Amino acid sequence: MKLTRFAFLTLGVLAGISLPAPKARAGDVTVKGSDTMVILGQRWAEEYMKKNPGSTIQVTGGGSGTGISALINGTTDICQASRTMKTAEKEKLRERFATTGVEIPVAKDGLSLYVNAANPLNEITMDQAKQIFTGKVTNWKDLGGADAKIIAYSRENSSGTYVFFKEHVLQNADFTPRAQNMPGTAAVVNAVGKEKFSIGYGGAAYSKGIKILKVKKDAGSPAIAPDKTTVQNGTYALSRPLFFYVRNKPAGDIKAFVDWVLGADGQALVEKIGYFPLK
Amino acid sequence: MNKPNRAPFVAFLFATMCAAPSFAIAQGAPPLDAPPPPADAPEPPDAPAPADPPAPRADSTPADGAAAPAPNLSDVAAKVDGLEEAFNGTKATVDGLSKLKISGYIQGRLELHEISKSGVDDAGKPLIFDRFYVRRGRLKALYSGTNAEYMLQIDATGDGVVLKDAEASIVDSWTPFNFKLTVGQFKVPFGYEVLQSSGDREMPERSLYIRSFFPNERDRGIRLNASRDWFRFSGAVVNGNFIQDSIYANTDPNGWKDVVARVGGDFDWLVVGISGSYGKALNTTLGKPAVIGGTDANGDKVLTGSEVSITPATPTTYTAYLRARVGVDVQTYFDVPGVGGLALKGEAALSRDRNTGAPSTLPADPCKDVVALGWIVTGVQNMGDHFGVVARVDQYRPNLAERTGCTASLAATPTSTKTTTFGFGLNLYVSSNAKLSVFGEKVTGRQDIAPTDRYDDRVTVQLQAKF
Repeated sequence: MKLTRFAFLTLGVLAGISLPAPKARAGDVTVKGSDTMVILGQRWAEEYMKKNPGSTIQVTGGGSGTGISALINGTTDICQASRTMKTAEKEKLRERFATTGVEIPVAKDGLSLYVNAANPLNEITMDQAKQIFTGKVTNWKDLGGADAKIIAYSRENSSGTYVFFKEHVLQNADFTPRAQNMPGTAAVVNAVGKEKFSIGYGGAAYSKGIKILKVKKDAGSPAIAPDKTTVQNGTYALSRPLFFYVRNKPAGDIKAFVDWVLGADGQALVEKIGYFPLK
Repeated sequence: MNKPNRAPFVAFLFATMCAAPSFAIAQGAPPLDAPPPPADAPEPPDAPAPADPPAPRADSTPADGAAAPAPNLSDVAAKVDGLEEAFNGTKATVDGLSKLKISGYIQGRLELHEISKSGVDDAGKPLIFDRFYVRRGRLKALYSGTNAEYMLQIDATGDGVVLKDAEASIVDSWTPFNFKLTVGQFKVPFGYEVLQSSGDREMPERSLYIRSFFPNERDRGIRLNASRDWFRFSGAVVNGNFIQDSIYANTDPNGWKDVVARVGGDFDWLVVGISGSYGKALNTTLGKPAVIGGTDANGDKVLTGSEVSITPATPTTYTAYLRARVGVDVQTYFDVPGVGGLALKGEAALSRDRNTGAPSTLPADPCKDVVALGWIVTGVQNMGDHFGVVARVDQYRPNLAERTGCTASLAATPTSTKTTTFGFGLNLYVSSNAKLSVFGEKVTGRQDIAPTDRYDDRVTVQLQAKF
């Protein structure tokens, strides 16, 4: 039967094409995603490659959303994310790879509120932060500070930090359009460090040149700074896990790298960078 | 007064100055934020004597021949302010554009049919069905604004350009139920395969029974989606006639609207849903105009008298009937170690059309009922990141209703009638933008009950490119 012959011939050709899967090189692992985690990921990669000559770990940022898209598109092996995957993203991953993905917590972070080092404010309530970033409060005098306009720095919506902040601080309300979106946490820190009357948010590891505010869950709660104890035991209101996402249960080079990250060496590096180990 | 937008520009200016250090040196000002030299750093060498100033440009020479004044800080500040305004304008434009997502895909296809043969049929239609063609050429625009969503999708193929989806939506950001209310043209919310994108589907076409129950999958109406945690709901009120209807396209021929809904649960590796629809449809027979003809019996090349015949006109007739469908769908996802993701999907639906041959005002007559059943089982095994194998079995039984005691004129398709299709295919994901596929389909049972006129054994080779 002509169709049967044609079908087998075509299937054979297709199988032949597909067998040498276009993987760059054995030992290569690509990591993409969260800007909050990019420095951490790069340090992990550097140390891992030192200890495992011949392996190559390529780490790039772009934001958690960008990393998850890359995971769905098959253009990265590991996605770094500072938020959990959304339902729509999980559905896309299932459609393309017939898998639900594997979520691996690799570190903890205390999402921090930054102000300029010259700002006299030392603590803030969750509600005050919401009021500022939704545009309800626009002057520092409303928080007991100087009579100066508040300049709010936020992140692009591809950022996991942006999503986490919107969900947990703004309770899904919209950011004020006056908030300026910065391309990364480093840019937020840089801007807050230069602008006396500004406020921004980002990972706890970025503290150079700015002041990290203590956070109160509400007006009657104690003000808590994000440190190892408060983040790990969850008493800091904005504690969050940082994740690796992979499509399937890790195997081969990916498993070796993930195991190392979760091991003593990888977790020690977490603390050195300024984040908090899992335990 | 503060300058809230200044910081990015200071950074920009700094970067610009770093890129052109001669500018900063020429102004005699240190670079912004330049780190102090380390204490143990060697003394910098004496600055070289400045070279002779370059000759002034002809177009910058003042009329009186005096040297042009050096720009001062206020000039630079004014320039930064200008750049700042320009940047804010550009940023606002880019921010707006980032909410607009354009996507699309093209499926170029080769189809080879078992029943193809040379020649034409009695009506002059070719009997060769082997061909290259563009199966789908989709272009989609999605704009997600504040509590609103715009979505338009068209399909451009050799048959023309057709509107597929046009959705105007209000998106809830106030409640935890993620409500989304849509008015327009959309896929009816029933089961799994109807809603699955043709760009994602592992087989080239939907199953036979899906195509029979839901021709073109889309209708016009109003739809409400809601979800919270594992709960999923999608319900719609639609015209009930689907789009591209050969008789009633772009209109609703009856006052009834169909209700369609799916309620389900998404438990990550397990997704389940039950669906139902209820409405009224028309069974229409188009009328024909009178036809005058005849036979030239005496060969005088003139039709006269008894040689002339008239076929009288027939009026258009229609009957309204009730149409109800129920369905269930299940999808499961597993990770096969060392191989890849495995998806097993199953779906079934039962359709009952009541009194299809008589006005619905008459008493119910089981002789005029049609009960149809369809089911699908699909398995998809990914192998690594670039390769996927798919197998699908689907069956369509167009009539399950026993019609014992009915008159011969109401004799139905035998209840044993069924069409079963076995499909197998390979998908090679060349990159995130390209998918090369080959499929084989073997059809058993009746082949003439399909909604399209050719439903036979076939091989399909397809290249899909998307962006």
